[in-house]
Amino acid sequence: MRVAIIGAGVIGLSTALCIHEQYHSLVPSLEMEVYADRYTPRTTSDGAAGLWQPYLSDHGNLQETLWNKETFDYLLGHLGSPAAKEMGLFLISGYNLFTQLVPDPSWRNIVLGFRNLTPKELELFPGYSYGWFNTALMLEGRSYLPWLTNRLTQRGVKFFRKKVESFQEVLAPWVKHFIITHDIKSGIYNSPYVIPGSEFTVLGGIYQHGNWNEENSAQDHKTIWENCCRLLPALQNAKIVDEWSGLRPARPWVRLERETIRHGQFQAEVIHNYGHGGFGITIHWGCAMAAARLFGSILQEKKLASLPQPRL
Amino acid sequence: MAAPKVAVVGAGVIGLSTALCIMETCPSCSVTILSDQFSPNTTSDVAAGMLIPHTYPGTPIHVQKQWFKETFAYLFAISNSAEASEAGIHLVSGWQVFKNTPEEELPFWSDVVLGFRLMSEAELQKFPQHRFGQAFMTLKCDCPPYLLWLEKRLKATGVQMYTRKVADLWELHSEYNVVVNCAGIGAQQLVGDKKLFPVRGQVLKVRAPWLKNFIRDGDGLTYIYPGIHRVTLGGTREKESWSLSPDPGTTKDIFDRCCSLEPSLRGAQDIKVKVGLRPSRWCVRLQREVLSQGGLKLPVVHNYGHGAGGFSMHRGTAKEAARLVGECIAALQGSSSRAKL
Repeated sequence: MRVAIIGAGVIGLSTALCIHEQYHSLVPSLEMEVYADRYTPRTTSDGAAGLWQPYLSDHGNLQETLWNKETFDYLLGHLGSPAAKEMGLFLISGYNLFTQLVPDPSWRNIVLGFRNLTPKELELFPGYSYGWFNTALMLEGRSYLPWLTNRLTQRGVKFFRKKVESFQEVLAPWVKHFIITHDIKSGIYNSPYVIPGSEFTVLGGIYQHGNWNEENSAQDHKTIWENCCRLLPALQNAKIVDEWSGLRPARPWVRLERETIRHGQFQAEVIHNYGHGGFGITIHWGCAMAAARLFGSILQEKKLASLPQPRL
Repeated sequence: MAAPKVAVVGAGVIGLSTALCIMETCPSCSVTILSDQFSPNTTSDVAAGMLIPHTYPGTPIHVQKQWFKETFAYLFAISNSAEASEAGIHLVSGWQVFKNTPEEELPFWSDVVLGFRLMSEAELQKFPQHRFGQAFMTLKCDCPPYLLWLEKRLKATGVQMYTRKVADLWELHSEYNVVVNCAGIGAQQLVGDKKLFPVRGQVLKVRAPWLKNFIRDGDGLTYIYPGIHRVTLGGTREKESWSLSPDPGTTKDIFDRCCSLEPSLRGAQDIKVKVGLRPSRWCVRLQREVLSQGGLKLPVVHNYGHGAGGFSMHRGTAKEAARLVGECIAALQGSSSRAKL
């Protein structure tokens, strides 16, 4: 049985691993192949800072909240394992800042130690009157994708070669907390954010709906740098080492469903798992598990179709 | 008195911050720092520099709280400025965990640090051997950067610094009007203080840049403090040990204890081992004294014996010491004007 995974970002590789882990012993003939135009370190996932944090509101989409929780719990369980460092997985705490009172997010009980900011802490951020503090997880794409690739390669999965987020990477190792500001009017991630990684700190805050341009923009560079330095004066002495623009695959909701495609006499089962916007890392494992369940249902149907005839 | 001449003995965090406070309160003073060691070779350079106070049995709690509050406020302002990275001051959050619930669930400093609260069950799951915990955010002073930043500010105000081993405070009598004794553990020899004793601490400084939170066991013996470039792993509290040589058995023990709190440390790189002698005392010696010998008088301000709490209390005690220096100078000016009659 041949399975093709299209895409080698966090979604493609984790879905591949999830399916292979669960089904390769049940389907000895399983041959899995990954096809992508870009591999790590050139995927959208590699550009992501890697912070586990969903959007502020789930818009009533409980399914996505459950997938987020599944992902968080899965990663938390791996924290103490020897693989954590290689995966690029570690705990990180930090702030979400607002200019107005907002309701608690759907994920307040998923993360650790969620609380409101005290007045003294808000003094650090003039212009912001309300905020949250919590401990969450970082899963750095540039480590996680190679780790997933290694796991898949060990399992015999084959890889074949045959789309905006902008950020700057700086050296600011004295910053130990993430800081994400929110401007309810301008929308998610259009307000400055600072996310410290294991080597570099990511400065960002650009979310331009419909912009397909992957080139770095000088104007966006200025916006990010000035806004982040205003937010965190200690950044002024940070050294900018890299800059990147990527395209979040945004959709009103994640497309995670089966589809049978027909081309003449040819028929194939497709599982779609795309449209994770700015929360791919946050939701990836829950979606991979759901995709694996869809795969299981396809297997069940096919097995029924190809059961050997009883000998009479 | 034209420009009172003040000598500060000692160039650790206490000596440097006291000298700075003296310049701030008495700009006309001429301050000179004398020490046999400067950064990176002081006791302060070994310390992680975490603002988590140590409680002195002999100092009233309200005084300790005041010292801590002043130190915290001072460093908080620096951490939020463009100077933060040069000064090595940064905020860090984390957990203090206890195997057994402590008698005092709320320490005296819980409302000075930021966001202090008890850990939830979910958070405690990360520490299976511990049953109780406190989560909070505090400040860390990385050394050498903090000491070098203090030295830079001191030089900008005209303070001179000399490497010199002062064996006896009376050596300074002819050159200085007031002497400030910030000699730390050196005070045992310098002024013969038998109430001062070393508490030896061995630490490891490792590279583990994925660690962003501190973890401290409430027993004070095992701790993980992420700094700007390195994480400090500790430690030991060996009373009356004067040895400055790292002990390899201790190194392994510290590493193992820290790894059991934070397993990812097994991947830590480039382990450096350091030893410091905490200048410990039942209470910080922060007081004026006038030494007299054969008709000569030497006003002295003592500011030493901060033990495990040097960084946590440094600014508060430095300000008090500067105030006492001011009193010494006023007394000298008073007596010198009386002498003119």
